[in-house]
Amino acid sequence: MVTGIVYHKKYLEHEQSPTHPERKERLAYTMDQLKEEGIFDNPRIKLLEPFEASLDDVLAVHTSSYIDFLRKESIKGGFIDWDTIVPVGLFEVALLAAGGAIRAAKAVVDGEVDNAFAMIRPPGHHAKPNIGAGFCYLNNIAIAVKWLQRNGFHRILILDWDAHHGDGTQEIFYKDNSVLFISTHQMPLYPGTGYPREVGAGEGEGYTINVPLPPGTSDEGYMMVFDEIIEPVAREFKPDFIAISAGQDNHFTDPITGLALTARGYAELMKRAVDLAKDICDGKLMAVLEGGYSVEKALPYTNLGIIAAMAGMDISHIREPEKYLVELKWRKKEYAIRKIQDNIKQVKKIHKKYWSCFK
Amino acid sequence: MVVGIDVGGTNTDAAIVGEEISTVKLPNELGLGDVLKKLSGMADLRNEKLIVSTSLPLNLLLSKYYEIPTFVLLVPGCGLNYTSYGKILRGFVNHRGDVVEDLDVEEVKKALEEGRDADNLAIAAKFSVRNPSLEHYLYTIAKRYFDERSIALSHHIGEINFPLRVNTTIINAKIRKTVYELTDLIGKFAGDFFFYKGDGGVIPYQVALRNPSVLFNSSPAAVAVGAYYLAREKNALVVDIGGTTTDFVVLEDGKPKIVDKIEIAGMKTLIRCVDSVSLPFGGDSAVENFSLRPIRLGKPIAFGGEHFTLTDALNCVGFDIGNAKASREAGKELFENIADAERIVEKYVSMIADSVREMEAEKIVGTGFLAKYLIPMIAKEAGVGYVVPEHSEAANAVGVAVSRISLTLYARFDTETGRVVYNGELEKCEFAQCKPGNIPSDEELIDLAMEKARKLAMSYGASPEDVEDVRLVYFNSYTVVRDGLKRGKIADVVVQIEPGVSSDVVW
Repeated sequence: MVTGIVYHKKYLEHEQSPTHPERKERLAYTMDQLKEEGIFDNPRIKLLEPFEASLDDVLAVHTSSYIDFLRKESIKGGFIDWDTIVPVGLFEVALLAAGGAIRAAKAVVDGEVDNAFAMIRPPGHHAKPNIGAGFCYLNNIAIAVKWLQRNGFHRILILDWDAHHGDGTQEIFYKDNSVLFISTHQMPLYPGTGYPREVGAGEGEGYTINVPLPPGTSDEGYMMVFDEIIEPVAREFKPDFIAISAGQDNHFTDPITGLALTARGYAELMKRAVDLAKDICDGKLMAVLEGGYSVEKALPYTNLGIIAAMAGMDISHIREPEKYLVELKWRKKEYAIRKIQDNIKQVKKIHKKYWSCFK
Repeated sequence: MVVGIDVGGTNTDAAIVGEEISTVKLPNELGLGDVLKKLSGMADLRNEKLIVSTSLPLNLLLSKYYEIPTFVLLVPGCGLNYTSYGKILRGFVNHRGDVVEDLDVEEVKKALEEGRDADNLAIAAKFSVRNPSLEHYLYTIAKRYFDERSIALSHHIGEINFPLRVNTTIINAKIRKTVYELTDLIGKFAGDFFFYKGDGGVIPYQVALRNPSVLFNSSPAAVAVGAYYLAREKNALVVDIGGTTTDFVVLEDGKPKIVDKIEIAGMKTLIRCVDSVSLPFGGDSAVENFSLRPIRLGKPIAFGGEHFTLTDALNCVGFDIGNAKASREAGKELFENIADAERIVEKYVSMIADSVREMEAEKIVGTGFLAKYLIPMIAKEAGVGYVVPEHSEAANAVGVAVSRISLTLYARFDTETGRVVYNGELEKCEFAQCKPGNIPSDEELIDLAMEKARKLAMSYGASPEDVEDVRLVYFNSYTVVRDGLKRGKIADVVVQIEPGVSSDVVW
């Protein structure tokens, strides 16, 4: 099995400010870890060079007025919200990030690789058709999924496991019954959306599934959601491609969330997704990096774990160092499991009229 | 005056380079000790600068890779599974160079007890190039179980890439004792001396002992530098006709072409050396059943041997090499007529010419003892220009003697923790007083690395002219932010004083 990794040095150039959590160390440290692991000498890994997304690709998701705004503001620098300013030169990097997501999709479609991880920034899943938000400017995964739709794929599953609700992606495909959007996210947390009652609209009703998670969810909680919601509904939907919005901010060392997932938990989750893809869509799977801010601690080896799981490598040594484990004790909440069970029940109740697996 | 020695496949060549060049070729059968003794009579080895190229003993050793058992102790921490590389121990240095999991001393002792029957020991911790403390600690314990000359530590390799660093450390563990013994032997005849690296650089022996893998393939590198120095050809293909092999090295802009991550015993390593191609035919190749064979049975008859060789065939077709008469007499017994000897020579010439054409060379520089006889024929056959410079028979030793001290410095600055690691060795950072808001610029850090490289090279004995040019190979830096404040900066800087011809020698 060969996994593609889309990466470009230019992804390190984007910086809102040196103190912003979405900063270049996220990738720089991850690259350090990957290089130290000799990942790029491994025959199971292929480094893929991204291209800039074309305007047509971007306009399939975003409005032309927003794109004009972004392009113009990128010249002198501008402002969307306090979390999302527009630094000089943003537009080119954002196009390269969106193009990176397309590159990953295309490499899988062309058979160049079996699956692919777009290790890109800035992230995308909060970006809406007419505006960016929450560190995001262009919705990379949506742009790649629209590209897939234009290239013969008609049933696409987007699994968004970032700690924050993928509100931008949800909005883009809200009325689309050819894209099943499943999001797991911490609640309450930014952006404040992602309630189970948000199920899609029009033809897309039932094709948006939100699974809110309490702080302290942990590996067990995630596996439960995967087994009870994600896998059964994915099997029923029968996608021809799985696209994952892979936010690594659920890790228990992440400074801005509290979901208490471990690096191994992440790797297991990806392994299950890869196995599921093999079962239902010839293994066609891509992952696009979204959040993940534990730059000094777990982000590098969490990203490694995800790549290892995608490439079918042994993940049994993806683990936490002793000195971090103390933190996990504080983050993991035993009572969270009960809350997750409740939430799962709630989601099933709402969605049983759309999905027979929940009846 | 500089003395350069290259221990080749069959002979040891030496060059004494001062105002003039004098060279000498001595057979390896004497042993390096006797070779050095003879040289001591020709030059003052104790006081002159001595540089030794000796990849051969290492190459031979590495041909027996699996016969020399190595015990491999690894501290990979969190990440991929390295069980197939060696014994895994607890402990972890993270990507920042912080120890986030300690060694378990009892576990270490138990492992060493189990592995103590091995010939040598390789120790590698992940991210040890960012902080070597776990490897150092393991080393202090391991010395009770293994001869310290047979222990290799991975951080001395300096480069990030754990699996390849492990493979390279295993090679170091296997060859380190031999390099120590060579060092001791040379030390009997010389003062401080230098080793020649496979990339054409020169380093003090103490540095080579820490990472002896750099000596790999030094002979072809020496030949290429020597060919450039003697022929003044910046862009050419060097064809070195030795006793057992004919080697090819491309010269690009006066430097031998270099390859990274070469494979040894099927394993990728971090060894960076000259890109040489070798054919198993040379002047001592035996002639049997009217054909040239890729084996050496002994010296040519022309030099007192008993087996008919390519050299003897050359004598049969009209050259005068050594005792040509003896070759011709042996030829008469072996061949029906002279055309048979001609065919032997032609076959060799066309084989080499084919390679020259395949490598798309426009010009060749011939080196080695037989170059002046064979290179004109090879060049004609291949349709390329050629030079066979004076002293071409000892171009390798000349190349060794005229090379300058070179080094690659991998520097890792972490101004927040006050750590700087130079080639795997932790030092106190000059920016230890660095505070938020007072963070060094990228330029300052690059300058610091360059200055360190200069100082290091000069402490090795490099002349000030040779350290003027420090090349920036790689740079990456980022600001460390915690709690919304800039706390410091992390920078990776790789600088190099490139191999080349020393400013001490006369052009």
